[in-house]
Amino acid sequence: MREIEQSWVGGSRPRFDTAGRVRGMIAHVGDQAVGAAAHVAVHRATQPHARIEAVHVDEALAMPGVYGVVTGADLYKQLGDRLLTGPAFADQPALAHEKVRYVGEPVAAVLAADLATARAATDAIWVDYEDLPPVYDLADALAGTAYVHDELRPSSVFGDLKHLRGVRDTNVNYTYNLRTGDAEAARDAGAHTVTGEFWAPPTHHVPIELPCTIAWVDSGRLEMLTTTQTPSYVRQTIADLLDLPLSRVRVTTRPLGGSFGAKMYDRLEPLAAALAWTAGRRVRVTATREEAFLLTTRHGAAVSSSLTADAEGNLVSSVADVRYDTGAYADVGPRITAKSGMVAPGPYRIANARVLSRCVYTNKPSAGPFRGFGVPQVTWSHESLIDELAHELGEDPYAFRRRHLLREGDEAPMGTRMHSADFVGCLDAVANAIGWFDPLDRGTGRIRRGRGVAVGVKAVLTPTIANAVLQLNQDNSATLLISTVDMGQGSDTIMAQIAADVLRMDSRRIHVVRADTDATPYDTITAGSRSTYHTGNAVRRVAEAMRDKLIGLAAERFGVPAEEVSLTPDGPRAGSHEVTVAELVHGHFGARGATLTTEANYTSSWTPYDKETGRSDKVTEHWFAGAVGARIAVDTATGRVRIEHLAVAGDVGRAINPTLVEQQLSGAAIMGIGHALFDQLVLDQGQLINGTLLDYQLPSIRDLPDQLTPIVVESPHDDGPFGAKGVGETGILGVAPAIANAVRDAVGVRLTRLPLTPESITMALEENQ
Amino acid sequence: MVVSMDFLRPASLAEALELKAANPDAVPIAGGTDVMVELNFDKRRPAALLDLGRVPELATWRAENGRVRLGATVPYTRIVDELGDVLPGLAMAARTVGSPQIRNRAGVGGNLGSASPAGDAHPPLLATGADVEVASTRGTRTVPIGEFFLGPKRSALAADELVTAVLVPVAAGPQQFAKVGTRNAMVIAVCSFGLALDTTRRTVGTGIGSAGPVPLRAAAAEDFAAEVLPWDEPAANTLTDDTAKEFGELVAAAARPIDDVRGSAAYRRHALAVLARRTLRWAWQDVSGR
Repeated sequence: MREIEQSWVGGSRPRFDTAGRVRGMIAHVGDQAVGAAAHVAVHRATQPHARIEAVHVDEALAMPGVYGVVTGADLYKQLGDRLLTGPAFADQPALAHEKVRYVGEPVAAVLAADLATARAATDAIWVDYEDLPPVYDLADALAGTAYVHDELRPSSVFGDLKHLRGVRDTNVNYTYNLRTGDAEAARDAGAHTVTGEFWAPPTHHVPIELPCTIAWVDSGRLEMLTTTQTPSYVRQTIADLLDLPLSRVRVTTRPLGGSFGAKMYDRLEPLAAALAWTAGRRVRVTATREEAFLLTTRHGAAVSSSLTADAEGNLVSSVADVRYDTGAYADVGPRITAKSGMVAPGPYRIANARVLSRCVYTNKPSAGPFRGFGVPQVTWSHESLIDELAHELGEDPYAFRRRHLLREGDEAPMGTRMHSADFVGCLDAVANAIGWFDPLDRGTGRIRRGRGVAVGVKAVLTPTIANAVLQLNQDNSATLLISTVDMGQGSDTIMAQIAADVLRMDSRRIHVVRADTDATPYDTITAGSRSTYHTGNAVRRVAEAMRDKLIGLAAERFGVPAEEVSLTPDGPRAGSHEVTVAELVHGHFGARGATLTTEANYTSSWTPYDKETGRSDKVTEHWFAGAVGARIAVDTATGRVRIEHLAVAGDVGRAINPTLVEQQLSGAAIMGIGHALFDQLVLDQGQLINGTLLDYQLPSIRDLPDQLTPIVVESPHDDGPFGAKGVGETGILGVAPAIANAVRDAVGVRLTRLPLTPESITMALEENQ
Repeated sequence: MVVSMDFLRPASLAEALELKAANPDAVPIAGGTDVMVELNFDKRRPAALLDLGRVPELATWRAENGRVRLGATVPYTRIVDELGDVLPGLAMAARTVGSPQIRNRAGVGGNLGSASPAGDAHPPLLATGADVEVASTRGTRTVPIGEFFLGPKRSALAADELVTAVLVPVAAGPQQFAKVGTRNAMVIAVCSFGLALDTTRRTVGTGIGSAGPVPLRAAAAEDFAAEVLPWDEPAANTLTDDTAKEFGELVAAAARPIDDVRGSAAYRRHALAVLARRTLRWAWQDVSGR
């Protein structure tokens, strides 16, 4: 392969920013010089659910260096109900107004000359509360004696939530129903049914980079530099909050130091914008590591479910009752509830399926998007059930899955067909990798070995919109304007590869402009593994438009029809005619340094699911298919799990950059190991008690498997750019159940609550004896 | 309120003791493993910090009279690198402390000064019967390790005293250390256990971490093992399952654990029994291999 081709689609060119990221030479938002600004710190609620009687700020105001203290009531006076924002429900105030709904909710903001002063002043604020009955967990919430919100307030973002406006006396803010066939009847008539009560706890994303937002007013415009995955969304939210036209709001970003969903939608931005706008000064809002734990979490989820086979071992019924604990504010919980609830039966041919999926308010820190968007929680349920059913039927768990997995063209229980979702290929790949078909030394003493597999399915965020603008510079380099945010996944690198492949140029000569809503075009969000497909398609199209433009200019110059011109790495060619791009563009404009510009859009479409049945013939633009295989050893004395080999496969359609795909699969798998074995937020009466990196456990280098094998599976998507789809979430879906299934295989106990701590394994072993 | 904090930087032990006598509220800091967490989380706001990082007397070790006099600020990295032969139990525990970066800074003095039941150094110090050397301008005294810990994060140190060293007997037999954590590195112990066999005097020492208000010895387990271990026929197969099991149960019985975010009391007792049993087997194998 020529060197230039390594920089095109299918080439594993290194990402352009590796050295800078590793050496800390990339300036993140928090590294930016801020100049004269008010530094903001927040006084947080001490009660899980209470009415705010009074906020005492005089002492704080009297402290030297304090510019001002702002309460929710102050902001409400200026902004009214616009203070309440959120992607699904307009339910979250930038500062608590009238009520607090979780311990740690921002109540008052101090603006001061420096951060230390601001933080010290927050301790001089105190609040009179009238306690309200707290809703600590799902059981409290569904008992329905106390309500986190007096009434539901759907936002204008999602039109299909309109019917929930003003509904009172409930903590359930959204319900998704799937009804295919008669699942209850099929279950009752079935020969073999397994059931389970599953729990996946809340977790936190813990990106290395902490969130930071700098906001200021310039010439009557609100501008901000912020750590966000969703610049276009934030721009709209701020415009709505401040009642400004979009043209008077500017949201810019820097490369993120990881996010995983933590820096999406309404985080620090509404507060920063409200303070900058009302105080008329530049503000810098940041969060400590401990505060970051309170900003957003992954939904804890309870799933009560069953899976039934007939006498021949055919799957005949799947029933699941899914409850997502969304905390005090809905965030995007309702979307998670639907999108993940609909795949609760798993990627299997099942004639009858019934899912009730609910999004539930509690007095806890709000839960929002997290790598996997709620799907790992239901994968935990369906991959445990099918494994147990295989055991009950005396069948091999791998072969049993393989028999029932959805194939190309099959219709999933929610009514949408499968395309470019090679579950069988992924499952085969991981089973082979971990030696499923080889004899296993199971051990006879205290160390027992086992193997497990799991398969996952997830829909891509649909419908969404991507736009791209390309400027080809006269020297045959290019500048690509998109609003995709590179947070470490490598999007800037692969977008350049896509454009370069079309234009037959070196992708290292393409610069991707960082999201800036003044310059880069609208893009729904960088999330849900959507960018490679959606933005990638927009980039492919914008490059094709540029290629056509170049060919047109060359045809004119050569005096031949455009069909006879081809674009090569050395420039346009037609028979004996040849010209370099640099000469061509220079000839066209008669100037050095001129640019040619093209623009393109890609928008995906869907058919909204039926309200009654939850079914749709196109609920998503495409599917993610993944599988995980684990070979583990359990120390039966301590309950400790050692992962000897973890294999993770994902069908990515086509790998734009195979090395980056492998890194995404491996990174997701490592995150999944944490969720499987020890990662969880522990709350006691609404109080987060392990929200520090001293207490909150993430996988360390010593927790990695002895062997970790990422496997790229490619079944090209008809409409993907070069057949490609995304991969950011695929690797995490099945990790926890694969490990739990391996524990089941090793020591014969079925655990249904995550994480699989040594203690839980030991206790289960004792009960089993 | 932004409060100022004095940062006292003595250059010698004598100066450090004078500063401590004059500022009894000053919190000594060496590696800062525990102190910085408390400051960062605003759990305490001491009037002064007493930086021991430039006190040369605290940063050395030497052998004397069959013991190692280990300076309070000798970092764990050096304990691992330089003392693995003579203080194997402590070196094993040192390997499990924090991350490499933390081990480059942290030392035994800080563990003792904090007197946390979870301090990784404590079980091997208990198992070996170490003495803690403490000093003030009033003089120097040694406190047997078993009398040093008075309660959770409370020790026998007077307000004007500093931990200057620990005096640890050179190993007279195999030693072991084992720890259960919620993950495999950079972790506060759910429980830990240190074991030291003295094959000459035919005694057994134990230390229990993270399973009581203070680090504990399991005296009954020590007496039992000393009595029943077949010292005259030290072969691997002479340690019976029953002996190992009873030893483990006696260790577990000596623990006084609580339920917390890292684990339940029941699991701590269970895991301690396993660790005790297992370390006894490992140690006995070493005896037979000698």
